[in-house]
Amino acid sequence: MSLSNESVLSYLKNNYVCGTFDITGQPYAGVSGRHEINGNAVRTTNGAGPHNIQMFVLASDGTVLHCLPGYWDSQDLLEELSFAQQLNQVWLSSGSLEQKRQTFSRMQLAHIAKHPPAMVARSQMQGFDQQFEARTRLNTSDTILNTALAAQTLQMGGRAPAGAFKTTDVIMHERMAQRPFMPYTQFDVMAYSDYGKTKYDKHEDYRNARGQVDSSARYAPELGTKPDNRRSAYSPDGRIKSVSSYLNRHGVKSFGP
Amino acid sequence: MRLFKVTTLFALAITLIGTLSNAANAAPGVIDGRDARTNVDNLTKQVYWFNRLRDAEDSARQKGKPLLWVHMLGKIDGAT
Repeated sequence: MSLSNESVLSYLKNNYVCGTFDITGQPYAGVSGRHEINGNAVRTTNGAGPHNIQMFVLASDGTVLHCLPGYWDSQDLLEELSFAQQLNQVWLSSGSLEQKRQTFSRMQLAHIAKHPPAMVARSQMQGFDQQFEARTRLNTSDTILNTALAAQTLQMGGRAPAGAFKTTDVIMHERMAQRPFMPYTQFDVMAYSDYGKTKYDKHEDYRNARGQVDSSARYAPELGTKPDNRRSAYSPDGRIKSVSSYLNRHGVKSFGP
Repeated sequence: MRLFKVTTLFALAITLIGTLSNAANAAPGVIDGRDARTNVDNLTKQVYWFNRLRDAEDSARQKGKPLLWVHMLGKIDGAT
């Protein structure tokens, strides 16, 4: 985890009070493979696994200054923590709430241009998340820059061409800009952290020496909040929507003597 | 029923083998379990982590600092 990086640890000790909240069972939580404390770990791209981790920065009165969804590289995390301290100064300054909120939104959007190319490169959305966005909300997702290009990910073996999707650093700041100085208790975590698949797992504990995931990973225990898909088989009046899928699930493949 | 039990035992056995053998040889790009454990120990020993928001906010107010409040699946000093 990037939080254990020496530079980040030092920065946190000097500048922040820290706390954690186990989101298991929360409606906005996703699903992940269960990793024991002695288990392997993996570095991934910025913003990967937004349903499974959200790093909030709060003012001491509980006002949300910033929120980083998913994993973030230690260098980029430091940059954003430093930025959040600037937002804290705005929050603590004199001025009307409206002025502060306008400044907040302006600063969030302006920070996008300050991201170095290396950070942008580390902020490419995961391919399976891009495919999920294209498949489920091609015309409505705020993660998509160009609908026609994003649609190419749906073709067999399709990879997103450059310019199809926003990077996660942009998505983060744009979404934060729409939530200026919100109280933590009113922050819509569900909508804010909603992009890509709800399940995120790199199967760190099930990789062989070549990095390939072992087939035993399919039996791995999981953590998180699984959506209840059972209801989708039934219509609102309680009847089975699809008789053929119901019969298939119960082992009936064919009729006849 | 018997088939179900055999299948379940097989799945459990494979899961255990996968978990127990992980730390010995980490794949490329993967942080070995022992190193990951050291990282977690550093994280939890060098920084105090509140688990009640009100307590964390009180501390932040007293110290005049902002608060990093991490939502995560699992516990920072346990399984995640």
